[in-house]
Parts: sequence; C-alpha cells; structure tokens
Amino acid sequence: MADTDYDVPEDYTSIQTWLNDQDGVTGTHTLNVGDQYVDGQGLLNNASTAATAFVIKPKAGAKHNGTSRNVASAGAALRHTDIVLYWFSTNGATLSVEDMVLERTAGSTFTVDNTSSAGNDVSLVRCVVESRGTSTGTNIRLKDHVLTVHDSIIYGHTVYGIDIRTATDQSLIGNTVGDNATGQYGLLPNNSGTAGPVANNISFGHSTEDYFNASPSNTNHKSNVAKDATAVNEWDGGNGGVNNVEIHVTGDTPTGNYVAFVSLTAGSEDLHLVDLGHGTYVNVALAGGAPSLGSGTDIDGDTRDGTTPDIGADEMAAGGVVTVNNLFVNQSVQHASNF
Amino acid sequence: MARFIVEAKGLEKGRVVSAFPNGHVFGSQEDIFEIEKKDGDRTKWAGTFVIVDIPDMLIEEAQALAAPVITYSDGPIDEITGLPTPIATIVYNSAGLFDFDKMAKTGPEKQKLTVDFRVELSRVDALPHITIRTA
Repeated sequence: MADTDYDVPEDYTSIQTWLNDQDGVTGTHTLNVGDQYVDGQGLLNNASTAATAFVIKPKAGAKHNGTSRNVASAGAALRHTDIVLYWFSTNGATLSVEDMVLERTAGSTFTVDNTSSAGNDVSLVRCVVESRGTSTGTNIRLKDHVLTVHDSIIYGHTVYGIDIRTATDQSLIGNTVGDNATGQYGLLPNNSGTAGPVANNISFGHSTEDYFNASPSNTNHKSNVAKDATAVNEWDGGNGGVNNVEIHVTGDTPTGNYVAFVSLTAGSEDLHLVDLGHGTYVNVALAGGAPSLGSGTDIDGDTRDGTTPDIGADEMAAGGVVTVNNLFVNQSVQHASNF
Repeated sequence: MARFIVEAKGLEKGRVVSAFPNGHVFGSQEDIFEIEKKDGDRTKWAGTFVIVDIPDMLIEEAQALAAPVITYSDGPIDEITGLPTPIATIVYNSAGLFDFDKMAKTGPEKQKLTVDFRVELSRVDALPHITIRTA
C-alpha cells in the first residue's frame, strides 16, 4: 500500500489507535497532530508491523513555542504518567518525531525507551522531552540502534538525560540538556572512537557529570558546552568545546564566561538563550557552534547561522534581544550626545 | 464513565487500544458513525475497531485496562551505578482483553455490534467478559 497521512483528532483521537491501525500496512505513515492536542502513551509492540517508518509531527501552526508544554498554552504534545513513547518491537520500522512535546509526569523509568533488538532507529528533531511532576529516571534511552536528537530540549530527568551508551550510533547535535535540581548525568553517548557526532550541545545542572565517558580521539565530538569543570575536555578533546561555564538567567551579573537562559524558575523554565551584555564575560553559546550540522533550524524552527550557529537548542535571532545593560549604555550615550 | 476502543479483528481481537471518558468523540478511522459523517459512506469503514461503552466504570479503572503489562528484568551492569540496567519487556499491549461478542447478548445488541460496531452495557454485566491480564 501507499504511504498514509492522517490527522489527529479528525481521523484518530489517540496516537495508539493510529499506530495499531497501520498494522500490516507498508510504507511511511505520518500523523499530523492538532494544536493543544495532548495524548497519552504511544507503544509499538507488534512484530507484524510492515511499515518502513512512522512520523509524528504537528499540523501547521500547532508546533510548541520552544518551551515546555507544561508552561506553554499551545502546541501538540504527548503526555503520560509512564513511558511516553515505547519503540519496542517495530519489525524494522523507524520512528521520527518532529516539533512535539513529550512529557512524562510520573513513574521512575524513561520518557522515550527502546531496549529491544526488534526495535529500530529513532529520530527526535526540535522536540521538548521532559520529566515533570513526580517522575524520576531517564528521559531518553535507546539500545542497539541509532538515535538522532537534533535541536531539542531534554529537561527534568533525575538520572540520565540521553543514555545511548549501547546504541549502535548517534547524531546528537544542537541540544540543550539540563536539569535544575536532581539530574545526575546529561549526555551519555556511544563512546566508540568512530561513533557519530556529539556537537553543539549544552549540558548543565547535573549533579555528577554533564557528559559521561571519554573518546578524546573522536573529532565528531566538538563544540559542546558544559558546566562541569572537566566534562567537555573528556568529550571533544578541545575541539571548540567550553567547560566550567557559569549558568545564568535574565538579569544576572556573570563573574566569568557563561551560558544564560531566559528563565530556570521551576515550573516556568524557558531555555531560550539571552545575552547578558556584560562587557568582559560572554555567553559562550552565542555563535560558538560548528557549522553545517543538525537540522539547520533551532527549537523554534528558526534558521541556524550557516557559519557560526549558536550552541544548544536555541538560535538567538540577531538583534532579536536587547539586553538591559546595552540599553542602559545606549541611552547614556544618547543622553551624552544631547549635551 | 468510560468509552473503550477495542481491536475488532486479528490475533489480538478484543485488545483494548485506548480508554476515554464518556462522551468522547472518536475520529473517522475509529468510529463508523464518524466516517459516515465525513464521507457519507459506511462502506469505507474498515471494521478495525469496536467501541465499547461502560458508562458506570470509573475512568481510572478504564485506563488501567488500556495500560500495557510491562515487566522489568536485569540487564548488563551499569558502569555508573554498579546496578543492573533495567530491561523492559511488554508482556501484553493492554491489560484488558474484551470478549465483545459475548458482551452483546441479545438479538438487538448483536445487531448493533454487527451494524454499528459498538456495544453498551453496565460494568457489572461487562466484567464477566473482560479478561484482566497480568505478568
């Protein structure tokens, strides 16, 4: 059969009925999810699946706003009290999730999980993957296959952000991986010396390591930023990475080079970048990334700078933010010129 | 307060796919009435699902029937924690398995199941025809 393309909630009112209904149907199956539609668990466990790929994405205009669905009032989301997406026995079908929020609100396991050799590759692009409420555990775990995570926010885990140490391969580019309190580890990629790229990521706020496991000879690992004193040196061998940065929010005064977000207030986090406009210290994420990687867009769908993209999930629009300090200086200059 | 959408055929006939509150409006690929409303043509209905209404069942009980049965076993030792990696196995895709053919007991009810792909009955009457699967 040909590829299929369906809408939620017009055609299906749950991701699960859509998945089940494509059983035995070949091709690529796309589900377009409506604005403010929040669904539960998506579980594929069917060795008779004949599909090549499943794609879940919002309809036009239904994309999240680059922050948590918990915070935003709009956007398409999957939310569940346990594993949100379980790619268990897919009989070779891949899963691609674009521009969605995946939120786990309880349980102690994973937000996206695949531990089965009968699963297949998973791709998450411009997604917000988060643990909220009483949930504990890991946000993303994949074994024995290839995981792609580009231009996404991974937030709120208490154990691991992305754990793919036993994945076949990876492409982790332009992500912001953080926790505000209790996360133990941020990124745990496949540490083979020839594994795919781990680049342009920010990892911060983890109690033990922002990045885990070293493969210093792998030049695919580059331009990552960490709060840890040692983390990036472990990973990129100095390929444009920055470690030991300060983490700030709007209005802070840095005392060293930093990464600053709009807000880290629990419940209303906003991990878009801001420039604090300090004269001495800089936001190292801005224009600090390696070029020509990832999806070419940021978490909001904005186009990345082709030469010097920002590090992390957000590409701060040039001139899009006026910092308080710069505004003050400019006004002072204006006043001075009036005299 | 529960509406179930259930597999109507295949090896897992009767498997609960999803549970919703009373009054939930299904999509055109889930409910023969909705595809009729959309296309004006019942013959396009693939007969994949049956809708089972149990109005006096709490939504929490309904959602438990729709939840998968998952077990965890010990995988390789995690080099960080020193503990076994938890490996999940899905034993059943849903805890609930409905014998909707037996739920539709009388002539008119059987007719409704055949024509409209739906069954409605009380919780007490439904429970004898629901298998609750565990690990």
